[in-house]
Amino acid sequence: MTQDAAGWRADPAHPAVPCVAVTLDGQTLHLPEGQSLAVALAMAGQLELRRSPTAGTPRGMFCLMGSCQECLVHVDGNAVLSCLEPVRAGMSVERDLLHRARDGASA
Amino acid sequence: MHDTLVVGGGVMGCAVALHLARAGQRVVLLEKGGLCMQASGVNAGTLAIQIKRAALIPYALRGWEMWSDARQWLGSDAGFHQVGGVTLAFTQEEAEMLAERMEARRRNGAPIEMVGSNRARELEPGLSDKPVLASWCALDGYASSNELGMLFRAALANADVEVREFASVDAIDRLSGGYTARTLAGPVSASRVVLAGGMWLEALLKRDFGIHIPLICRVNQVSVTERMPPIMRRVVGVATGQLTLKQSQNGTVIIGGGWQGKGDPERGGYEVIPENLIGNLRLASYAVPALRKARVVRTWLGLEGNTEDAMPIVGELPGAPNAFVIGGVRGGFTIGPFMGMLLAQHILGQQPEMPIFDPTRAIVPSPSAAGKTTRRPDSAS
Amino acid sequence: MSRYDVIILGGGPAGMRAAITARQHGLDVAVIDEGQRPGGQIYRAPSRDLQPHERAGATDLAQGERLRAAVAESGAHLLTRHRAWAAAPGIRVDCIAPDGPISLEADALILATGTIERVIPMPGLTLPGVIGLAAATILLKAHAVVPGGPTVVAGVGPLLYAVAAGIGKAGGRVAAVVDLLAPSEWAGALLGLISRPDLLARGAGWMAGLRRAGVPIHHRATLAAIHGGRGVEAVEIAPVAADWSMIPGGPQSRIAAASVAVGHGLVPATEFARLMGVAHRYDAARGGWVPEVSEDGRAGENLYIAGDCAGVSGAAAAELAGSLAGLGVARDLGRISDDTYEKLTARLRPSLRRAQRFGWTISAMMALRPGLACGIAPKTIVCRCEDISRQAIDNAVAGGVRHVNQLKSTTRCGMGPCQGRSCADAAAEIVAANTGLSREAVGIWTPRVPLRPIPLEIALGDFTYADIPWPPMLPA
Repeated sequence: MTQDAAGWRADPAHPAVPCVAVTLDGQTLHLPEGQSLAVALAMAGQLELRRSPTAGTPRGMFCLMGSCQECLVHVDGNAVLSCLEPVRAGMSVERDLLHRARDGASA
Repeated sequence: MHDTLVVGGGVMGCAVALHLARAGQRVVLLEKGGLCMQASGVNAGTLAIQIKRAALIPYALRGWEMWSDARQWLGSDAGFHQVGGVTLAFTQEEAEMLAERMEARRRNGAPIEMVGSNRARELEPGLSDKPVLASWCALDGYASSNELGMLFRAALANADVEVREFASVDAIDRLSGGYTARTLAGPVSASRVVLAGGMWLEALLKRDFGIHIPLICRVNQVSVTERMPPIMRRVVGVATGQLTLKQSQNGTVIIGGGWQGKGDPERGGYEVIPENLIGNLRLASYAVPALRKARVVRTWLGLEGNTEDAMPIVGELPGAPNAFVIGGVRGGFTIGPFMGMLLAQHILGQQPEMPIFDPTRAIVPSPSAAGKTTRRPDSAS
Repeated sequence: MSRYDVIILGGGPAGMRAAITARQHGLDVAVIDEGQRPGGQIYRAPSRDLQPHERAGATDLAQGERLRAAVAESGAHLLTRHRAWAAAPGIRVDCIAPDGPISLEADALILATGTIERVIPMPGLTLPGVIGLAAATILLKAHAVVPGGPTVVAGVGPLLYAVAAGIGKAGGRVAAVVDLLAPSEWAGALLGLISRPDLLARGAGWMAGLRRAGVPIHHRATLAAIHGGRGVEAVEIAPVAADWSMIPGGPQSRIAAASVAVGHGLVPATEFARLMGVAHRYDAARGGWVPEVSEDGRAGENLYIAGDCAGVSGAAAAELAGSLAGLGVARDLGRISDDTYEKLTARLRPSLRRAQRFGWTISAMMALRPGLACGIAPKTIVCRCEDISRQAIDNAVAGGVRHVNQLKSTTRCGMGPCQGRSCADAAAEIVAANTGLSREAVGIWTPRVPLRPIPLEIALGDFTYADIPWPPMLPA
């Protein structure tokens, strides 16, 4: 990244949204409540959401409209598209369960 | 002029063509779509001895052997995996049915043993605690049906079979000395013809031979999940035969069992019946509960043409010398390659390894049909 | 099972207008939409309260709010957060609702499913931090968030400039705009846009903003590659010929970037129409495969298709087409006479034609040209879901594949959870180019239900063994 790089962030013209605590792979994060989970994670610097199934390359949100399926994460154990899922207080978000299960199996 | 014209490029038509060509015949194969794009390529790929009809067990065992040996005759292992299979009974009534059905298969040579529910869960740790009885067959497994078209295309090319895909047959005419198929790209002639049209066989026989063999159109729904961490390792079925379930090497779980959708030979499979999809998935998750965390990404339909008794028809058509038919069986994927070999042996004048299945039993007389067959002159060949 | 007179699939401009019109003629209407609120993509409802002043897309926001208010007042049942996964003649639509699966029945169906974005792959497209151009508009308009900067905005069409201007306005930094079209092609298209001075003025505003900010605009250029390890670090910009193929040995420039927004046009979302058995033809100037419909959007018995999913023609045309479809259903279901129908539609048709002329100018300008997909490098991933490369597709075609359905079964290209939506165009273009066949001949994937993945946990509900609807047993 270049020196003048800036993160994904809210348009300052709009009132800030209060943040709530969620966990991401067990770590606590504070994300804007009601914001799309994928977008909120990007704002928190977490662009990588999973790895592709065969080549294992990093993937993140892409279409933001529920079509491409790239932003799949597990919320409270269920597979959801994070671009369509609003941030709720206390939600437990897990990334890349497919590869973590494989890594676990091969470890 | 070819020796044999095969109409229909599913597993049976391709297998007949391949064996005839390897025996030295000049073979041409016409397929209205792509090779193995219908039932042969879209079935669930299950190679389960436990779900084969008792009367067909000897054939199924030879079919299974051919799949396990696919590298030898097809040039690729076709994704064959022998993982073993458990078949489940969830009620006392089903337990009795399971014991009775498996006994009938065992009598015909299937290596199946009955196991208690605890042993079943040892064999398949992904099972729920719902089964009351199970059966086990170490042979059960699967192959990649979706790869079949590609594999046969390469094998047929190597055997110098002339394969024409996307070539519809408008009519088959009997001429002295053989048969000619009319296609958009011109006539194709051969001394004999093999009709291997799957569900489309009925219309083909009626149109060009005036023979009526009614086929029951089964429109089988098959579903697949997205890739999952390993949740199961065997082929799982149920006593009634209405479930096939296994996780492929790539992590997807394939769910079948002959639950029906809507379709017909004219339009193909055109509508999944949501109740039957949900029913199939409920049954699958009742057997393997980890499936509840899956997402189903695709359900598709395969058209299977079954004779009234769902047994095969393999042999020469009465009143039409050198015209042969193959098909009609339920679950033709497992035994298809072997049926193709049997018909090839018959055509080559050899004694088929096992008895073939005279199509005469399946013919329904109709006045117009009778007239049409008797009017045709006998072939001189 | 809930029953309505008419079900409308999609709550964008066409769907909302169809609902309002159908309600005016007394029909019981259900609108099914996946979003939290109706709006579709162009009129997408903000995910939270946003200040409507000084924002990108404020005009769209205002028009969206007007339509949302009208459809809410109309008395139509707004089934938002409903993900439709199957439709069948009859008419039946199956959805996953927030609290479980539901089936809806109706006498008529209006499809207003809009478009999906086409993105022809280049190396690095799958990196986190790369999003679609349409996604960038959603990010800016619905979420009021700017992508990490500097951002490179690349592809084709007016969205390029809308997004680049929007990022600047919201405080982000655009490193470059990379436009496949030459300035002369834009100038030619402007003649067709004279009927819409409002939109021309908006476009001029975007351009002026970009010039003020000193954003370099590369015309007749494409992204040759996006570089980075786990995220975007730089992009490679290369000149293209008129057919959008990269000019061999042309001067490439590498610029630093932290995010990329890229899109190559809009494609009608025809999955439901194809599921309903409607015939389709390939028309590159309308976005790709389009359903065969009458001028009023009639596709069959009690079946209408309205808006961009019938051929990309823009939001204004979509609203008018929605009204026509609403009237068509009202006539088909006997709520208005043929005479009334003729009278009411006669007023709409000239406006629709005007709006379409405008929309079609834009979509023709964005029509996919052969060089873009032909130039995909062998190692580039075409099918994101299954990691299928260009090379794997070339190999399959060399092995005899002539139809995209064959490609799918032999390579798994298009077999993943997105159902081939992301790679359909690129894959079909490669098969067509390698075989010399037309796009019609190489076909389109057979649509498979569920059209969106369905989570079993929700779809199956709680059940007992007795709740399984067993089919008749077959002989053993």
